[in-house]
Amino acid sequence: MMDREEERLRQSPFLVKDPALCAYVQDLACRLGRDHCPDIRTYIVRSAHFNANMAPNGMMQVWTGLLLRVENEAQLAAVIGHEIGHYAARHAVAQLKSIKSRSAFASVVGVVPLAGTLVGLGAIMGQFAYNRENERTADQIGIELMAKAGFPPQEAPKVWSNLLQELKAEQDWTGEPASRSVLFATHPPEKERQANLEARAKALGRADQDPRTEAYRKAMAPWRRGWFEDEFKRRKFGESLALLGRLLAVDPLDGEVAYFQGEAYRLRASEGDTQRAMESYQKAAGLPGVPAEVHRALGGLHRRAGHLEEMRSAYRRYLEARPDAEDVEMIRSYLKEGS
Amino acid sequence: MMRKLGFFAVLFLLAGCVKPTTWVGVLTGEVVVQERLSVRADGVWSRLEGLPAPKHEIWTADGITLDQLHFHTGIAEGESLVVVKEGPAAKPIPRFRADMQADEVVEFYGVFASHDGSAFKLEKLAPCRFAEQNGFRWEFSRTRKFDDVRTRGVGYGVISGGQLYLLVFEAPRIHYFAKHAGRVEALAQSARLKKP
Repeated sequence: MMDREEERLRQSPFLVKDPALCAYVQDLACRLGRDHCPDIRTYIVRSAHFNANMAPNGMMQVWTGLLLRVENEAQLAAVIGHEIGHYAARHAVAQLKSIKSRSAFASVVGVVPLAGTLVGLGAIMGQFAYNRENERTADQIGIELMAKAGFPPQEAPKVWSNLLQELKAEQDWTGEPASRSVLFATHPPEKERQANLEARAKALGRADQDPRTEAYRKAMAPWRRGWFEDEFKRRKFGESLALLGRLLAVDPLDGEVAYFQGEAYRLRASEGDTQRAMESYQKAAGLPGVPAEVHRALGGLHRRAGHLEEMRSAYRRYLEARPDAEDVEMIRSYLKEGS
Repeated sequence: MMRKLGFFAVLFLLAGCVKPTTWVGVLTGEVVVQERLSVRADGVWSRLEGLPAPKHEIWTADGITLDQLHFHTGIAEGESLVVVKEGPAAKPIPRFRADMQADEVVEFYGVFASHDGSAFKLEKLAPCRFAEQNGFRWEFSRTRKFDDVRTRGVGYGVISGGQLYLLVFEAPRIHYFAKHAGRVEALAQSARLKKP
């Protein structure tokens, strides 16, 4: 059954197939999994949610929403190590055996061929909801694997504290309980998990190890922009702005992140967000790595404010940088306004 | 039902607006959509009747998974493309603003086209006459999450009197988009606004 789904995943249009990125994640899984390496096959899936999972046949999915959120190789190692922990402890196999209603499981599997790859895999992986003891064991194995691979184990609890910060920001923004994270749906309370991991990290020591932040950022750089665009389609602006704020705190001169912070404010469109977006765009425009679209964004805000000269200046800069842009004819029509 | 109708149906269900729907044939000749937009139809279309949305109409020629033609007629300031049940959950759903630029309208549409994780990509955006007014036309591609099918689409839009009018066609890029593209183009060219 899982082999059939793995074959479908290989054909999925949502599978990220870039050789360099795939090799980077697969190599990391192998360094963590050691003896299990020949059995582990990692697949990067384009989905904006924070998630990773591993099936009992060695198929591991890493979602792009996770890659967008972790700050360094050590944090990614913590999550992958956790999934290898489930695999090594054969939690999924035990779970499968314990499913009382075989017919219910079969009905889920029977529906899968009709659905898209991710929908089908989601239905199947949903059957492997682990209990809290399984999760604690996987956390324990994961943090030890990352320490053995030379990463500072102190990065593991940060994954959860960062996610908690995002969920709290979303709750503050929408007033809704933070209950929609795919990963949190089946995992122990995050605070308990964070505390357990912190205690274990303290016992393991090795805080002076390199978390490999620069190597991670370099590997993700070509892809991060598309992942931010996917992230905004979730319409979780509390979470997105917390994420962007955290990334800007790490590197205040990151023009790409500053631009997307402006995008998040513009799309959220709450009171005062136009001004916030303008400030973020203006800051981003002077920073390295900023996409040319920052000038289009500034042009749009100036146009709405009736500042035609500033609008023209911004749109011209955009067209100079992107003469083959998909909206070039539309922008040219804006340039003719008021002239 | 949800699988057959795609992303708009999902949103209707989320909004708690479910009632039986049926397909009825669209007659040849001038057809008035939701009392706000007239088009000249050529007799191959069926219309979904019973949608709980007074400003949205869906047509198809070969079946809803093979081609979809959406009309959004007279979306006013603060309204969305789907019926939104007011409440905290409705907060993240984007609303139309009368001062939106063409690129923002397309972005607004793209939110609905990708809300389920489908991949939406703008391919081209240009000024265009639509419904006898200065509007815009855009082309897009989408990979549907629920069945992995890659589609192509074309949309026409205009903001008139502070209200948004859209005509959007989408079909699998293999065979079905090309099959109906010319017919849709002619339909869009025939569009006229009707006074409410």
